[in-house]
Amino acid sequence: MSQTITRNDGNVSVYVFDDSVNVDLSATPNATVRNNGGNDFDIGDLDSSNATLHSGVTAPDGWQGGKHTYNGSAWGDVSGWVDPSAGMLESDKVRYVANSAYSSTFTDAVQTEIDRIKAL
Amino acid sequence: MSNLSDLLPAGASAKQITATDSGSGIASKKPVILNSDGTVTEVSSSTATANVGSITTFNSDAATWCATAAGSGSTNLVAYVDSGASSYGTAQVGTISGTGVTFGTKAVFESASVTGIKMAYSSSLDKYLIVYRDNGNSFYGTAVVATVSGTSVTFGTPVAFSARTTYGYDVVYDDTAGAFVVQYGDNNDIFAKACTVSGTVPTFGGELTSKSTGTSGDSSVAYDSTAGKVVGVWRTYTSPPQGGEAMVYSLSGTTLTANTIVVYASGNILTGADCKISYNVKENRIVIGYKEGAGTSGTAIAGEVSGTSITFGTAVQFNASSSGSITCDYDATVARTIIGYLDAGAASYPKAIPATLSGSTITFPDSATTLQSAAAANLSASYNATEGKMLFSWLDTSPVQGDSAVFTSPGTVENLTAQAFVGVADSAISASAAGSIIVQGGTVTGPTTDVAVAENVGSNIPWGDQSKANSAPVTAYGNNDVLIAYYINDGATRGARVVAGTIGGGTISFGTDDVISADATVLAYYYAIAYDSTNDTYIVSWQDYNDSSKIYAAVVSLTGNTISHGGTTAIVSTANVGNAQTLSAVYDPDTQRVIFTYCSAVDSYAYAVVCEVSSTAITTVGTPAKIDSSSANNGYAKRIAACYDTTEDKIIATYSYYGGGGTYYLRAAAGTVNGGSNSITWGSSVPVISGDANYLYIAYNATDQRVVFNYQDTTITGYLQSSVASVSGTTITVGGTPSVILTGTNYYPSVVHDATANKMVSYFRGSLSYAYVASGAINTATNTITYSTPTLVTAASLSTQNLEGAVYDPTIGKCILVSAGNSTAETACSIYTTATTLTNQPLTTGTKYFVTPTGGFSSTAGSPSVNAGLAISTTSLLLNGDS
Repeated sequence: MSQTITRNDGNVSVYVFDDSVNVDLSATPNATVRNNGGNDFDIGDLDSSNATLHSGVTAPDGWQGGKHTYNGSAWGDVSGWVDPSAGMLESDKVRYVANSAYSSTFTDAVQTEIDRIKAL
Repeated sequence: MSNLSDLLPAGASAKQITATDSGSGIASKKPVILNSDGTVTEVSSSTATANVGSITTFNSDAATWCATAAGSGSTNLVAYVDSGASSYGTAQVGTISGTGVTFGTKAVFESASVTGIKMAYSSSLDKYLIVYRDNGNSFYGTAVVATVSGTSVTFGTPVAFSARTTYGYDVVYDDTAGAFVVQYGDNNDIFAKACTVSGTVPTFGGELTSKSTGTSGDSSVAYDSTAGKVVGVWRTYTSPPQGGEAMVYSLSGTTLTANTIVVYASGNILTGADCKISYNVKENRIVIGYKEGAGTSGTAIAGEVSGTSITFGTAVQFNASSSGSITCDYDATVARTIIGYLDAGAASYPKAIPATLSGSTITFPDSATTLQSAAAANLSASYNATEGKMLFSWLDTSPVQGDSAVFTSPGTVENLTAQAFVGVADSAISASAAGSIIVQGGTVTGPTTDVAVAENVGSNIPWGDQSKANSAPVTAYGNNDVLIAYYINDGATRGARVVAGTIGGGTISFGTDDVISADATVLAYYYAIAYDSTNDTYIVSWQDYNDSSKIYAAVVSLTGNTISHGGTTAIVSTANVGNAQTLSAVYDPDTQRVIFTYCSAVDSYAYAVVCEVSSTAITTVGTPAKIDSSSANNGYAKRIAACYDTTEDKIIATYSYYGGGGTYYLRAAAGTVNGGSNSITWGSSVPVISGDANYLYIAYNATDQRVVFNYQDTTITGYLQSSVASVSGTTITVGGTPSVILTGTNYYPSVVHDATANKMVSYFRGSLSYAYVASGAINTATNTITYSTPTLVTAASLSTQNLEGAVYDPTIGKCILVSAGNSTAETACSIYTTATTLTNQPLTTGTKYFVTPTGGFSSTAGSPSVNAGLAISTTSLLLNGDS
């Protein structure tokens, strides 16, 4: 089983850990993530005032931060969510198109990659 | 009734404080600075060499968009995209200690995918402002305040400052306005906003459009602390022009105003990419590192902010290959701008190269240092003032992880500032001990000054008969006089001929020449002279062309510039010397013997003969003996020169069989003179260079205790070169790579030691057969010497066989350059002043003195300019410094 941290605003799931990981949203000065397989860290933008830790959950397949919601009992999808990798390419593509140095072959290839990522 | 002392004004002795040395000790009468911990340190200058500390991994997953900023004390903050953790914005505190860095626990400042991280630190707020593109929030430009405590970092609430899809961030803190300035772009324009911080809350002012249309995502900002202005740079890809642009921002409160855009690089669409700007405090210039042209070579340019505009110098390439991820910061320890880049010409290894500024002129005198011998990306750098080190961070590509290393920048390390200068040590202070420091208003007794002496070639002083073709002069210095031996190359005027000059009043007064050979019809071509310091006489030897080129000698004494001489003695009556530079003469004051060395035209071996002399004659001639008979290759010689090593009490001979090729190397041997038997015992010879050489000269530097060999390297088409050797007993150890005095085919690289400047001076025939002079100091660590760029002495083509020569006059502390020919321009001397800095000189009364960065006093202001005081006598300095 796993545990997830969700933002109180919109129940967006932003972290998923194994249940064995020690997550303390009330720790000061930062929320802490410990016993995380050698990858301990602190969370500076979330704490017990704006986030909730849910344990004993099973994250959906293909979980990505910001893609799903969890309301304490059920998982859902964030409306209009775009994979950041595709989103970055989309915004970059606008810049490439505006720059005549880049060929249409290149920008078409970028669009193909955007479509591929979105289809995942 | 008061004590008498209470009625007297406070004297110099009262203007003292007691302070504790910081740990290295302080010499007497040396200026000192006050440290922040209350200790004092002697003003000094040292040289730092480039060093890369151990590479430390701060994130075991990909750390892209690394940004590095130095904070308070030894701490630094590294912010990055943790690609192993959903690309969340993450930061870690790195603490520098020595040449290493350790990192605290990583902390997430944005639990969403981010890119484009940049960061700045405000020392007055003790806060960092991190700016980035929040991919989790419509790619908006976002900022968060970070606070470091110990090895931990905490964050305020992220604030979106631009509802645009933003690119190309950079941020800097404006100390004058007390606000951060963020510069960023969208797909087309460049914008800027100012931001004040209260607690951990950033508040942004209005958005300024810095440049409309056609800009890329390459953007950077720096703060010019002298002008109190923020300067922004970016790349524009529309035409005209395509390239790099810069602009000075005006800031009042949080209101930014744009000023005139200045193009600093006009190139193609890629020019100005990867731009990064920083401010060089020492030279008061902003420095931009950027990609130049289609090859995207690494290039830098410096500019001076004046009012609301910038004037740029000339761009200089620092890396010919494509250079990515360019970063730079000012390293105050060595007062240089350090540029970091990824070298595509070296598999994208991260490198650092120091830029030296002189005004807006940039040079790169040092080679780049590789930070990691593996490909990297996302290089960033910052200078930590407390540790005096650069911290570089980057994305390592194999394995993929975030790495960091401390870089010690090469250069001159100085500790002097006007603010820190506190006074002068009254007497020596031992390491960590307390001692007395004379401060402002006090008088220091006994300080000395350093005086810079410029190179100077004195006017021509003719010698000899100017109507004659004077040739092949050989010169020796005696006791405030010089003696020149020469021949007149007209086919008619005969006799071994000398002329003397007395030195004084800034000139040389020559007398009438004299024929010293017994037969005035003798054709005496080539000479050698030794000065007998015991008898104050000159021993002149010559090749008698009419007598099978045997060697004769006579004793010459001077009264002023009037010559008298004794009888002629045959030194070598069987040998047959062949040409110029086949004989030399050296006086050994220890045994009071004259040692003649020569090359035999009969068997081609190098020989030496020891002679005993009186004040008027050569009284005993020893038996000529081979210097080196170990093999023909070692012993063969057509050229020879010798000098006396005053430290080891040895005769050092150098000889070559030029034109022999193969293993007929330029060699040297050291010999011990036995006065009783009038003989000399030579040690084993060693090669000076493993090659062919001609026109040999040799001189001993008693200060550095080194022998210097000058010669024409005939294996590389006549370059004049110099080699340095140390001598221990009869063992000669020649140093590293010979230095080139002058390229091209040139001749007669004479050498003499200027003991005043402690430099070797070479007077030689250079381009167009003109006479040139160059000087150089010996590097005793490497046994090498580097000569200055040659200075023209005589712009007249010197005739063949007109050897140039130089002697040193210790009384006037200058050299005398001698040449000969058919005109007053050629048959002349010049008194030569070698460029140097004279130390421990008396003060000039009434002169204002400054503290020098090397810990001395100078009448010329240095950089930084720090007042010391007024000389009230040649030995007393009234301190009225900056403190």
